[in-house]
Amino acid sequence: MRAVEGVDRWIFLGWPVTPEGLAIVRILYAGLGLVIGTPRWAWAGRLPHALWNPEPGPLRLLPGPPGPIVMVALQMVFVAALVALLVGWRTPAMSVAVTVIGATGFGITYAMGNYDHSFMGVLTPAVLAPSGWGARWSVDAAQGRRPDVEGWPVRLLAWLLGLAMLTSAYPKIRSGWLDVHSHAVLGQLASQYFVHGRHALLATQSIHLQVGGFWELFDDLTVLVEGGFVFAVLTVSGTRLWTAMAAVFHAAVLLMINIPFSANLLVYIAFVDWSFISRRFETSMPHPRVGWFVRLARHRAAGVLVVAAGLGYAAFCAAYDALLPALLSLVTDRSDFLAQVSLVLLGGAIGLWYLLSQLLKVAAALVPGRRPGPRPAV
Amino acid sequence: MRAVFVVAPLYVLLQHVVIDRLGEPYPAIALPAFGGRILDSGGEQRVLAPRMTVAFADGSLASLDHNVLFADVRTLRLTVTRRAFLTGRNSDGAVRPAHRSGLLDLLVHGAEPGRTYAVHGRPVTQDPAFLSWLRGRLAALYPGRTAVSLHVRWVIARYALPGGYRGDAPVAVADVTVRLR
Repeated sequence: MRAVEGVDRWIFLGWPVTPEGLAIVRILYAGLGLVIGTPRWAWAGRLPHALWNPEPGPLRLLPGPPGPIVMVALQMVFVAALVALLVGWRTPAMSVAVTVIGATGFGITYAMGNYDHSFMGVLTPAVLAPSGWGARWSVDAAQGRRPDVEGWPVRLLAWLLGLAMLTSAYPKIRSGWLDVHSHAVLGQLASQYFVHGRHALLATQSIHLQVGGFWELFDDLTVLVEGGFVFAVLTVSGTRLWTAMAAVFHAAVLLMINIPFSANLLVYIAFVDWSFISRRFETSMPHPRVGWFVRLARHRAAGVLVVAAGLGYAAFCAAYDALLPALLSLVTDRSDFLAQVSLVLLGGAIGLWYLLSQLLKVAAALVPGRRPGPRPAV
Repeated sequence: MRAVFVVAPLYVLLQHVVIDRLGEPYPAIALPAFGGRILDSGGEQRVLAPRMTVAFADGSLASLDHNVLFADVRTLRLTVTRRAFLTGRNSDGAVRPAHRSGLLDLLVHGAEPGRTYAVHGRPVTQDPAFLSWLRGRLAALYPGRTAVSLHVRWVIARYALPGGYRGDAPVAVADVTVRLR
């Protein structure tokens, strides 16, 4: 009985949340998704049906990929739902819509040949839908829909991520990543560099780095970060520590191997303690400054406006790409990649800052003079 | 809600069994494994690679990079190329015929690679839609020339550090010819 109570406490009371913190997660998730990279699925509809071979699952019920018009429509509805999530209109329903439409669209592209494993990023909104992440700074809030906030969906997301990481670590262990002679990360680098032509950032410098110990350490740390996640997510601080390490790890992988794990970064947003931002936002941006948003959100036609804005931006994305890659495309032909670089490196920098701050805290606690002394007797 | 937390690891276990037996499902609580790219004891990595040659009506030949053929594809083009010209096909480039008895059979085993279009048992390389797409693509890549066939030779390409490409293994893994005329 006590064990069940303990598990219940862990699930329902263990993850501290505030309406403002969850609102920041929602705004960052949708905002970054919209600015850095919205999906472009039409290519899958243009390929011959003969290539269609979905993985085991519900997509096998489709006889082939839908045509390009359907794929464009699907990606536009996805973007519109993401815009609705950004402004917090019908937040729970839009959260589920983003997941369902995203899973379908990405799944169709995976069924044409390459399974990209972005599902955890797509699943995030549906898992957080019951968290009340639309309770503040949203159209819902302005219209009086203010659900209670719950921490258990964040806990569940962390738990699912830990399990997903385990599915990544286990095959690595089985295929010899911990063998001191294997240098599997170097093998990955060689494959991406020579076969897939990924030569950007520090890839060339890395391929010439002939230090076996470094590569073996990278192999072992990869397995440690991925395999340890499932244990780390048992506590809030462990989740944050491991998430920070993973963010730094993704930045290193991006710099050396040019694989941007940007979908993972969108999941990690949920685990950051955003209270330091929400407190400042509350004090530096008092209510009157966002009065225009509240007035608009309370308007009778607010829903129509949200849908129109969503479809308008979706049309822009279909024509030019998301905002950041569209701007980057004016100066480079690698705009999609560079847009993702910005997200992954920003995530890595935040992760590194967090790790260093934790290290400083530990160091301060270890220095005798910095320890809090005994309270003077009264 | 408590049940979801308990079911999740059991689901991942079941998913592992499905991966072993049928292949990785979608959607799945999973992240990429990157399991099979380890350098061998000689420091060499061997990768299955396509070498494409287009034959034209006037008897001339041109080599074609799979990245060029699938330039519009916004994912790893090598895997798409493998799907198109190797997986599930015999040495003549034909797809293994297979029949699925119903919904469950389709869900469990999936359609044979490249066989999900409407005409049962017809090789992909004779599939009108596939050939039409391929002809159109080659016409766009080689304007004014008529392609009569595409030959895809699958080889083991060898790479080693730090220099890179060390050449192809002499024996081909598969030769696939797609006749276009």
